[in-house]
Amino acid sequence: MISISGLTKAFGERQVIKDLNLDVESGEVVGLVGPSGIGKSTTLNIVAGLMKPDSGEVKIDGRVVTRSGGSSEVMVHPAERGLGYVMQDNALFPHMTVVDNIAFGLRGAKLAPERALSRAQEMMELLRIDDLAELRPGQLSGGQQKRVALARSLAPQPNILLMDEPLSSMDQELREHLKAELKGIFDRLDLTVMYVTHDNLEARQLVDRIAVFGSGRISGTFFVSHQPPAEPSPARLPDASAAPD
Amino acid sequence: MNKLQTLLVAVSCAAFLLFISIPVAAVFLYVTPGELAATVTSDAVLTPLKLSLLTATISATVVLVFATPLSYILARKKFSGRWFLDTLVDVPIVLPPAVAGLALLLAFAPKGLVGQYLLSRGIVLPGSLVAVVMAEIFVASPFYFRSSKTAFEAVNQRIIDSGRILTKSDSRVFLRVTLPLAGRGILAGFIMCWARSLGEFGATLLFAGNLPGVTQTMPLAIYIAMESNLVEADVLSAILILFSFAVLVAFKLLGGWNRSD
Amino acid sequence: MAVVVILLVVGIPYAYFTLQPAKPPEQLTVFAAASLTNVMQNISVAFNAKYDANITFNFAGSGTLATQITEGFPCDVFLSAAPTQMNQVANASLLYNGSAIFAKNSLIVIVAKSSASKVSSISDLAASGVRVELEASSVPAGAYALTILNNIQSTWGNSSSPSYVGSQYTNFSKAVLANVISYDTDVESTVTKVVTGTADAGIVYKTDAIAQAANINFITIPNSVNVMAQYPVGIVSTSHHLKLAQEFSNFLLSSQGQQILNNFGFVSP
Repeated sequence: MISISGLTKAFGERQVIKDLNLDVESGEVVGLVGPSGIGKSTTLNIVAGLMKPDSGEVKIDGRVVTRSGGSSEVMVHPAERGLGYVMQDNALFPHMTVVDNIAFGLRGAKLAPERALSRAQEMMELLRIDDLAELRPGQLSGGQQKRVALARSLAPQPNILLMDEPLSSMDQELREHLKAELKGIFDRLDLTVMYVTHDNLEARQLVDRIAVFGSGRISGTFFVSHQPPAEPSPARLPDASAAPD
Repeated sequence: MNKLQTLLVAVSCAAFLLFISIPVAAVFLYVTPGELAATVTSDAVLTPLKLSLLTATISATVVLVFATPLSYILARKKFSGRWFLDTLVDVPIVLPPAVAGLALLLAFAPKGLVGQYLLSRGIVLPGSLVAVVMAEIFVASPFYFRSSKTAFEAVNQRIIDSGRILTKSDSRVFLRVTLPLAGRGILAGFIMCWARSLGEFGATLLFAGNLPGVTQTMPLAIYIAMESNLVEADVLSAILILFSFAVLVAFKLLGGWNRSD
Repeated sequence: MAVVVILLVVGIPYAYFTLQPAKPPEQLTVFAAASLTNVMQNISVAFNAKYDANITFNFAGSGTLATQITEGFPCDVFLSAAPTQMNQVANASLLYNGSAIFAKNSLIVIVAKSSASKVSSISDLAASGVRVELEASSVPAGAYALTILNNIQSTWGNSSSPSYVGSQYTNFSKAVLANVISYDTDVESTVTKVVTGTADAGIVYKTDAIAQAANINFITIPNSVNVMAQYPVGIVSTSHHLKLAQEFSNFLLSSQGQQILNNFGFVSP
């Protein structure tokens, strides 16, 4: 579904991505795992079409959406790639209500107003935030904001979902709750997901395959035998995760 | 804060406020309320007042519509030569208004650079309402640029990015996301531009002329009234102060209504 | 918010249309030096009535007006406060048939009422501690004032001159200039400063002094040392109302026009 080849990106002197190659199958949940700040978010931004790589190519569903550094440059608009993106800080529209945030990607030529509204309603029910419809992001808790961001990304029914450290700013209990919900949503909607995190355990609980990010490239991928997240219980401590092999 | 610090702060506040209010009060105290009331509804006051309010509003609105795209580009797009354009839009602020007026004359009067072509099409700008608006726009637009640019710069790129992922209409992202988020700065810029237009004198006098009923705005009317009748000049000044104050307050209240929190 | 939009949508056209001048029988655009503001209101009333016309004035400094005319600003008649600015227009080949002097104006010393005891005669202008206001020499009134000061110094203060008065005038010009607190670019400012007492005295046109008679004192400057400012009138060659412009020019020079000018303190040519 997603095919990344020969990606490079430098910010000034710093070569953040050196030669990144990765293939993600349709319906697969791939975790991009590695320490913070080494280029995982940059990779997502390039796949989303928000950033241009120095060289390399990205294909979605066989179609070239980004190509740089070669003879013919390609840069398909982010909204025409069929993806949703939940950013680390959510980036909700602070001046709009929750329902307007969620419906933003549905309005315009795409959908008639009533259909857009009912679709937004569906999303809010899926993520259990229907009672927050008329509130503004500033009035919501961290967990609620994350749900709104997710609902907003999923409303236009994308095939692909990009998530950047979605659980990093949350407390233990909330994190466990959301992990379970996310797993359910990934399965139910049969999404192709690229999931960035620095937390190994989290990755092992949510993804089908882990791609290890190091020195600007994917140093290796391996399949995960599933350990579904347990129901949250205050007494349970996360186990020190074993290093992948 | 200890007592000495409080005292110093109070003194500096009072000093500044007095400095602003005393001349303003002097204008109002120079004439009797009777004189004020008698003149206030006369043509000599209403005509330049209407002209001033009309042209200032047109000028600020034109700036709002036409300068916003440029302001956005200067704020958020990087390109070579950006520093030059950025400085260029600020130039009118450092020009003495009379110089601005002369520049407009040399460019747009019938013998001017562009004016010649306008003349051949039967268009003469000096002496018209359009000339007043042009003079005001020239002199007041930098105020809008400064405020709106800062506001655009402050909009979080991630929020704009989110918008771009959700809709392929970049204009929709601009109108529904970027613009509202920059709203406060844009409104402030509009107000500043309006206020500066209202007080514009030097460029208007030179480029548009001092034609009563056509180009004689309040500041020009006051200038002429000083020649013959200080009382009339004072009454005009008092009314201009009152109106400016009222409209500024109205704009600020409007801005409060638009608050997004 | 809707209220504001409605106000704007209704208010702007309203203001615009009520500002349109009433349809005049014939329009005449007259550029006149600012010092002629008062007298021109009266002249235009008489002229409009007699010739069924409507005059629109453009009042500003003579130099500004001349520049506007040479840059193509539409104008029918130009009234300047000095021949220099009229020549500027003549040199640009924009005068229809030359110019004529339609009025003269002498200068006078004006004194703030609060300074009456300090300045009661011309010689007091040179006294120490007296605050004098003049116009810049680039403005006709300013240049004339300097000429007058020199005249006084070179006749009243010159022992070999038949009009010698005394040594108190020998350095008169220098002494008065040392007392000048600022130079204005227009006569209105000078008058205002003396009226409000910011300056003790100033030198302005007699016509300005008469207009403010209630608020100031004056000291006449004898003709022998005074300057007669000459006001020319010229018809602009690009005018679309040449006939009416000529009639206006004639009117100024007619006995009726001259009478009005004299009432305001102008001297007939």
